[in-house]
Amino acid sequence: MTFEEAGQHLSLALEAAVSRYGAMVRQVGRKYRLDESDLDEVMQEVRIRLWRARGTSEQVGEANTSYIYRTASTAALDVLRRRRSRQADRHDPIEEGPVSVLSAPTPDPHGILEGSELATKVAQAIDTIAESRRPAVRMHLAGYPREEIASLMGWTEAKTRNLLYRGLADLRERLAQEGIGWDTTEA
Amino acid sequence: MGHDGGVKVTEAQLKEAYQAHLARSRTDRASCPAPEVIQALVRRVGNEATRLATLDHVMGCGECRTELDLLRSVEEAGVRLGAVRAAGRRRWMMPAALAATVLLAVGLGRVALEPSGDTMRSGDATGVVLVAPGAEVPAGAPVSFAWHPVEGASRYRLEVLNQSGDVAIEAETRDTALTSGSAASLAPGSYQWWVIALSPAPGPRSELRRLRVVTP
Repeated sequence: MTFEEAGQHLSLALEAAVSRYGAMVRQVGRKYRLDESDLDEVMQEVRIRLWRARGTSEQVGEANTSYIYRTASTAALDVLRRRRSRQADRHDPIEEGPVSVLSAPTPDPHGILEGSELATKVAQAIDTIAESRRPAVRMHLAGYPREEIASLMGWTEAKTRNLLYRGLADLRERLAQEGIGWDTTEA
Repeated sequence: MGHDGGVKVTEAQLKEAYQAHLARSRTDRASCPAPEVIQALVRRVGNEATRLATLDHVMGCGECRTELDLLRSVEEAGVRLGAVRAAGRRRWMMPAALAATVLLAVGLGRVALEPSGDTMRSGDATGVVLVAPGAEVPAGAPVSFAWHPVEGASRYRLEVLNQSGDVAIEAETRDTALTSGSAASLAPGSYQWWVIALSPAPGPRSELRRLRVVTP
């Protein structure tokens, strides 16, 4: 069944509620810079599930946001499981070839700043940070604001700030051991 | 950039390097936490040590991070629409609150939503223009519904909803008028009705209009 076909068979009220939910998911998804096609896949799965449940569930006849939310939650899990399964089937090995082609044949004194080497050193340094502080540092470097770190872990602002401050201090120390100075004046 | 024989980087460069590392890194997915475990993290279910360990992996794995954000989007949409409480304060809504949610959903036609790329359109009060009936109809008699045509529509679907938002009457027609015999069986009370244009995919719809069935 296509996206459009599934939609045609949903009641107006239900379809309106699904559309409203889908619009909200998109709105939030944009905040997280998600690919719209990922969200489309979830909402298509929601519509198909609601269509399949039509006539077998009393709730599906209602414009029930809670029901749509629960359907979307399980649909999202199934979409992720399917995607992982497809990835496993693809057996997409990472070849060494392209990397060696891009790598400089001899050490470049400025190469450390050119992406991969610095990235590797940063990643290795993060791995040595205390477990309690590490996720906050990862989120910070991945671009998440402090409020989101607090929200995801259920921490207070003070606790988040403290863990992040200490975690970044740890990182600075580890990087210094690797000969990488961290210019904090810009941040 | 040089600094005592080493290098000096800014925080922006560190972030850029880390994000590039995330984009390049390929994890053996077999070692990734199951989607349910990531969902538990989003919902703040489980002890903090477990959630920290999950978050640590997720934030170091580009693919798990995308999965986290997708699950967060679904969750946050539910919270914003009142279907569920925010993480850490989760409890399924009570029936009375559910009824309010249903009424909220039914009243979509009046809610101004941010434009979206959804294939299915949300409430569109400028779509189908309703003509008849008026605000009240007598109980026990068929009801004639009418609306203005919409360009490109091949059919129209009429729905009458009861106070709970359930569909009490559903009918389709190629015409712009429909006399519903089923309406004669509607109990006295308040209802709402609307019409959606089909082409054949669902297109513009009408506003949600009140209809009171009264004892003659």
